[in-house]
Amino acid sequence: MTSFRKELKINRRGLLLGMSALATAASFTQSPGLAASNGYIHEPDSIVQFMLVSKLLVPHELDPFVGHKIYNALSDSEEGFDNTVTALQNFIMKNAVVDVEHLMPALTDVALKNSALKIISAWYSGVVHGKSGDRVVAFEEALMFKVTNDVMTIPSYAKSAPNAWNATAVPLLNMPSF
Amino acid sequence: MPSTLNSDVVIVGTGVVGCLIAEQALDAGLSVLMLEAGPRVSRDTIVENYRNLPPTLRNHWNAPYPPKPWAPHLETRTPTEAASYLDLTGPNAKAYEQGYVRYAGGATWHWAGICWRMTPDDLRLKSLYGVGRDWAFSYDVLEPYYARAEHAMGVCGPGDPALQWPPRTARSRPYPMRPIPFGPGEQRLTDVAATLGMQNLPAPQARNSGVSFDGRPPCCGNNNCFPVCPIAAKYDAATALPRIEAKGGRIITNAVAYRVETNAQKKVEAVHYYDPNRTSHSVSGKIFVLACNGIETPKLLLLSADDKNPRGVANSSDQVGRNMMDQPKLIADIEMSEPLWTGVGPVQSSSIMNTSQGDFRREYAGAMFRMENMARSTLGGLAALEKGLYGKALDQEIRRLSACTARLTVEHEPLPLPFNRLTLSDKKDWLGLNRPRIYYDVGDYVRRSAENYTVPLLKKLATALGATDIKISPEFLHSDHIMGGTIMGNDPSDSVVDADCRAHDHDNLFLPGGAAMTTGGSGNSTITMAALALKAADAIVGQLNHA
Repeated sequence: MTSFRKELKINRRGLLLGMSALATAASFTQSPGLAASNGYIHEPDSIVQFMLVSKLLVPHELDPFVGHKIYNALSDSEEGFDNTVTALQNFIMKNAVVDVEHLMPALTDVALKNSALKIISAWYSGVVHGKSGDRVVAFEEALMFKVTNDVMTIPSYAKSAPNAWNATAVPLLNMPSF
Repeated sequence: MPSTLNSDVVIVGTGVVGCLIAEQALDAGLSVLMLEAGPRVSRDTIVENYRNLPPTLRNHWNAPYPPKPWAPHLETRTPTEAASYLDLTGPNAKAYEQGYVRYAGGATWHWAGICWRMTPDDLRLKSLYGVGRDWAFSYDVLEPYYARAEHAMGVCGPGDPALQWPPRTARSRPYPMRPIPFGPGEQRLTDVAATLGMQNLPAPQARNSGVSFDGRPPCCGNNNCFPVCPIAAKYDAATALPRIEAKGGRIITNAVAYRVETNAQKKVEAVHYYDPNRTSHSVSGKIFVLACNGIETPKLLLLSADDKNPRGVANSSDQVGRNMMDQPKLIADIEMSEPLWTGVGPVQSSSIMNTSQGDFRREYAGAMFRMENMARSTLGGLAALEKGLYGKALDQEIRRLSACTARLTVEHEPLPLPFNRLTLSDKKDWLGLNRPRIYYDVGDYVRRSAENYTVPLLKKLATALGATDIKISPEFLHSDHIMGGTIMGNDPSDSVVDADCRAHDHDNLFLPGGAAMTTGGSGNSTITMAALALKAADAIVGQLNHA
């Protein structure tokens, strides 16, 4: 199961990298095959585009349901958010960016970079800071919990069966796959 | 429509103290009516409130408990909110920002569940060390009530006497459940502390360990004891409410008691309360119990001042509202080179208690040391995001900051000081009732302890854990253990209640709980409050049977 998942991830990532590297003229949203592979059929183009940009910014498995909520919250809080996502997508394709580590230093447009950081922040923290206050878009799906989920509890969720936890400390370097 | 109700026993407050007394009285065949200022809210509502908080607010324990306008309690999300109910003054006002919940079930909704008994020496500070006061009775008198409270609330704890507290003191009954296992952080703290002669003990805690108890499930390590246990594995008084009703007890919520009425024979005749429409009602009875916590109880007594009781009900000694106590707390946020890994098991599950006892208490306060065992993923996540990180570097930093940081705390034993005083503020609440005004100064006994004893030891402990950075709070903070405001003693001229928590001035008025505590000790106060409640319950039942 694990190897199958890894293979899937590689395939998805490879597809994105390939498209990016080739700087294909076709937009992601015009690729029904890609949309179908990610389960985004019937989703508006804007959300499909947001999820694809998110996948480069946040190199983990992303829940489309959470993505939908993040997209809605950011669209409400940031004027012209669709244009921002399009600009990020265009930048990625134009520069054949392969991952977030290469993308962020290359983004010299401060506003665009801040928007990218906001998207990353929303996926990890589960909250979008808007004009009219904070909007919580995820609790247990917030990625900050996944980073330590091999040891630490997601507060309010059961850790294990009764008294089934123990005092074993795991190495810091054993980053969970998520 | 105003109403007039009647009951053998009238209890104001539905927290742990009120609920324990209600059940004892009902079991003895007495009728019981309980008044609760706030609403009755379901557990799932509170859990959802918590999960829908922005992560920056999830460590504000009061945030999932929005108060009703007629029953305000402290809220801390903003400074304006924090100043909107408790009117705090004095050099250590911050150390009296007490968190409690005016909901049916009371503050046990968000307590940690920790049940340290006081020690025999804690009850004899004046005799042994020449400071504070002696209690009206010795530990031997309190011990059976501690045991009853542990069984009533379902306290798990170690069977090995070497790991029990107080040390070298006989227990009349074993804990009803075995201890909860440690996670990696608490085990590491235990091992490291031992090298400094500090014994980190598994905490007795009102949490079901490995088995169901009293109709509640076993703890599954949800690591959310405060602000709310999502599965009721931890005792909270809200779980007692259906049982009280099943036994015939009546609970009236959203009923804000505002006056205790006495007659010419110095007996309490009635308690008057407002409903949310500001309509006044009254309840008469044979015995009255005010168990609405260490702030609301003295406030209600002072609000009840009239011609017969010019300084307030039960206040001929002028001690009502004085001697306000809590364990002044200091915290150390530390960063370490190696992972500690908190966040496995309950949010608190152990403490260092041997630092609370000794002859040094002639000069300065004893203290309890412990580590917060909350999962730190949220703190680590937010701090790493704040740095503008992304990709692998972001993941690595979240993991490092979550695993390699910790919060150590030290809670100092307070002395009962008459100048630490609750009075009625000239500021009013939504109902037009005076808000509580509290002057608080931790005192030189605590300050000397911090300077000479606890802060140096805290730094030593942090260093032994491998701390590369130690940030100690610049001022004393609150532990949310409200004590002292209706202090117990044998002398009616300088105390409010007798050894059964009965008001010296009114023999059918009982004021059990934290407010009655003569001294505070270093540990969490709830189990002592519960023991006092059961002692008072015996006295109430005996008094009514005798009558």
